[in-house]
Amino acid sequence: MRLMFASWFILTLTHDHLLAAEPLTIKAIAGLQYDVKRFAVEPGATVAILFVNDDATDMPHNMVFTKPGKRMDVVNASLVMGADAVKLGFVPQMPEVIASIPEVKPHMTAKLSFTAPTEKGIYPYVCTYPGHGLIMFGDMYVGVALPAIKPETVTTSSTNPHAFPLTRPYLYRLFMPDSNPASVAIMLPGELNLCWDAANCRPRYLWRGAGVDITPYWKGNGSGRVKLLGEKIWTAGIQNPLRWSKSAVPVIAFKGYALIQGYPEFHYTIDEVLVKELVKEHDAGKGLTSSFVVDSDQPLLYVVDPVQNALFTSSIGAFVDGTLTVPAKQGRAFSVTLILATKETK
Amino acid sequence: MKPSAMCVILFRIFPVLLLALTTGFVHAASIADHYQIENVPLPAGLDPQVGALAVTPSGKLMAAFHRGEVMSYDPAHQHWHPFAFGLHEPLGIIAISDREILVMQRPELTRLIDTDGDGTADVYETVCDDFGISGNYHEFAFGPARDANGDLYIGLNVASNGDKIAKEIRGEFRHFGVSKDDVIGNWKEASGKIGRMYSVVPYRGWVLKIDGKTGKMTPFASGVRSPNSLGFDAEGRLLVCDNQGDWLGSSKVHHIVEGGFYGHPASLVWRDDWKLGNPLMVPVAKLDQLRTREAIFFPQSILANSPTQPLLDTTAGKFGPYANQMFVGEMNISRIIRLLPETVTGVTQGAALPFYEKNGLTAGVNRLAFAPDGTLYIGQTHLSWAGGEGIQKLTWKGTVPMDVHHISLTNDGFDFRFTKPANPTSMTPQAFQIRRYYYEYHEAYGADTDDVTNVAVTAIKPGKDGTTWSLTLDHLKPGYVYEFTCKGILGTDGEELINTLVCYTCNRLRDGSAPKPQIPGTGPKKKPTDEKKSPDKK
Repeated sequence: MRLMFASWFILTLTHDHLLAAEPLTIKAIAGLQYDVKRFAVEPGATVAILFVNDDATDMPHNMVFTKPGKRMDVVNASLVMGADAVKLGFVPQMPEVIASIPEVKPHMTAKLSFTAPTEKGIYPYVCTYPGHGLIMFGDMYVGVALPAIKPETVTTSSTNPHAFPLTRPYLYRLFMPDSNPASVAIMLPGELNLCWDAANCRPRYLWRGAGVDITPYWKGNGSGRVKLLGEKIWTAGIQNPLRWSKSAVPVIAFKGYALIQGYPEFHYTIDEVLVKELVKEHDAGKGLTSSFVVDSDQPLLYVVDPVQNALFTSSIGAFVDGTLTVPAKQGRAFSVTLILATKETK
Repeated sequence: MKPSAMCVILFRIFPVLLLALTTGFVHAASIADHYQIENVPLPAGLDPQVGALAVTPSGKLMAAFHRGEVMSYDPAHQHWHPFAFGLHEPLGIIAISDREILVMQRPELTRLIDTDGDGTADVYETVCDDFGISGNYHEFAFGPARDANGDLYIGLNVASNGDKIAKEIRGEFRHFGVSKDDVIGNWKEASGKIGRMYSVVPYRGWVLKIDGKTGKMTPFASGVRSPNSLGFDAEGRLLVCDNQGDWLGSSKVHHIVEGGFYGHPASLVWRDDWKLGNPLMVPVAKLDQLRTREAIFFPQSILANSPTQPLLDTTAGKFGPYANQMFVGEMNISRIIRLLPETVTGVTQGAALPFYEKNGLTAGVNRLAFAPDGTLYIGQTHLSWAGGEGIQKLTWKGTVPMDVHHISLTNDGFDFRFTKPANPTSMTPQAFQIRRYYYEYHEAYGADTDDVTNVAVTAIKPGKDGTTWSLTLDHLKPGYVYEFTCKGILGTDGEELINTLVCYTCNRLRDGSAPKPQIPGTGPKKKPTDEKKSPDKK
């Protein structure tokens, strides 16, 4: 909570002293915030506010200006209003309130105009909708200069986000970029990372680097996008590689995974035949090895896109034009290794 | 203080003073006199936003957190151990044993098994992923709840037009007003047509049934918005909470039955028999005919703002006088609520009332779980909304609070039963202030209380043992919430009634009378429409 607080203040917008004719637009935005965290006016000036409830998470909000230092008194009073609360838009009737906009439903707007106090000071404005008052507020500086705002500092947290140590290999199920929303991010030894698509049951891409930055997702309701930390080094073609024939498109169903020394062994069915696919880094991260067990004695194919920036080899023979032919009964144990091409210098 | 104010206060407390004189004593009620709340210590480094809680038969707590961990907790040694990792927003657990649990996460229902007994799961088996996900953040997945046969029920949120969908989705795209290409490529325009909350992949806004043995999925009921979350009551009713929003005038709990439609229309496109195109274009009167009304409302800002998990008291009295009743969490404010459903002429309805609030309870109550010893574990969260975080436990001290045990509709009023005999002197018609109101069924977000009318108690009669009291009301009307505010009620031991608010949702009268439509244009005295609505948003 404390960290979030800090970042909100860092994101504070500044507004120059208001002219009476121009209403200041203040929006309620997602995450229980006003987009304007502070503004300054002269004592006795006319303050005109256009309040826009632009909260994408569909919460009602209000805006209550209080006397200096009285924000929590007003918030606490708002919590014991009883049946009057709804009628009054959660604005308690008390001398500590100097101006207010009652509850504004999501995607509605309201206007407020009042005369700024003649006494200099920092006058808070706060949302007193139940539960919001602790964190959703700003300050009106009356005859007091706005403080200098520190520039936003981006901190890439090197600290572990969990209560136990994370050592590769480990994985997260996430909404991954450039893949199906049902995806798995696998952080393998050697700074190699794999995005595996759990809807289509196939690898999608590899990238090299620190893994994933999930903080945009974690810090809120999940609308923040996961970021890849590192450089994408291989992207799969558009079809499932494992198939009975080149022409027929199989029906695929995901069945989960087992962790073997931390490495995922994915389980899925191809036309109702069980496949196990264990993924591991190859040669300290120079490539990826997928070890397959297919519960069938039928011959099958492993088809890759030959234009890819990688070399494919197998435990049971060579790829010809991007296709590995797995003979009858060999499907019960074979592996495919993708070796990443090293960068050529021209 | 002004003398006049003092007079008012004296006047208000005079009946209580009088009672104090006649009964000898009155003691101010606090639920904390009867229940002990404590924080459960948490390991350092954890983001303690709780998505799920369950207790294994041996008494171990399994807790799932926002960052995808499931941690097991041994209360005897206050020891936490990582049980599973890397899940995608786990929001429900059934603990089968110390080594096997079912977890609902965004993409699927998963069985986690610790095959080697080291305390950490090594098998993550997909039980059911037979539904769509669009990548929209609001598509939370809730449950599972398990019925007497062992079958499982999950609830799938609709998406929010606070955001679009991913380029790739799982499942078929379907919307009768906007194309997938427009949603992805021209969101600015599409967001105005798609609906505030939308269902463009299969079974968003549905409750699904999953065969407990085979994992086979059956679409069960439609029309929910944010079904956080699901639970069975002692009568075997599947109760599902839903949150105020578009099409929901106030938060509510539904009694979900197979084939039902519960009011939020986005999900209707996934009904096999759906032939009416874009549900947003269907007249409200038609949707109103199709829907099953909520069983119980949680009047917004009066009782709850964001109710969460319904949980049956299975402690057989170890948790106090509420055995076989339902508790419900509330995320927005510090409160746990009780639910008192009943069946009136075949229709489920009933009351909701506060149980434990403030007195050390952190806001944000998202999950509840009973341990075999009768301890109630409480897990809090907030995400981007108002709430809290952490895990607390609530235990009964063994003394009975003066509380409403249950309330039931009669032919001409309500029977109240208290947990202890009530002092007859305090049981006057004036002890009950009653308002009735309804929430209009409409597309806009939330609704005001409508046709708010005071209702007088015309008679009050005691039952045999002093715990039951029959109230006669001057009239009853179906389709209304009856909100009781109790004043000055005391137990014979002098304890004040602890929870003085009871909200009864009356869908049917005892003679079977049903409500008339309560949709735009049908109200008794309509106020002018809200002129603040900005033109560019739906």
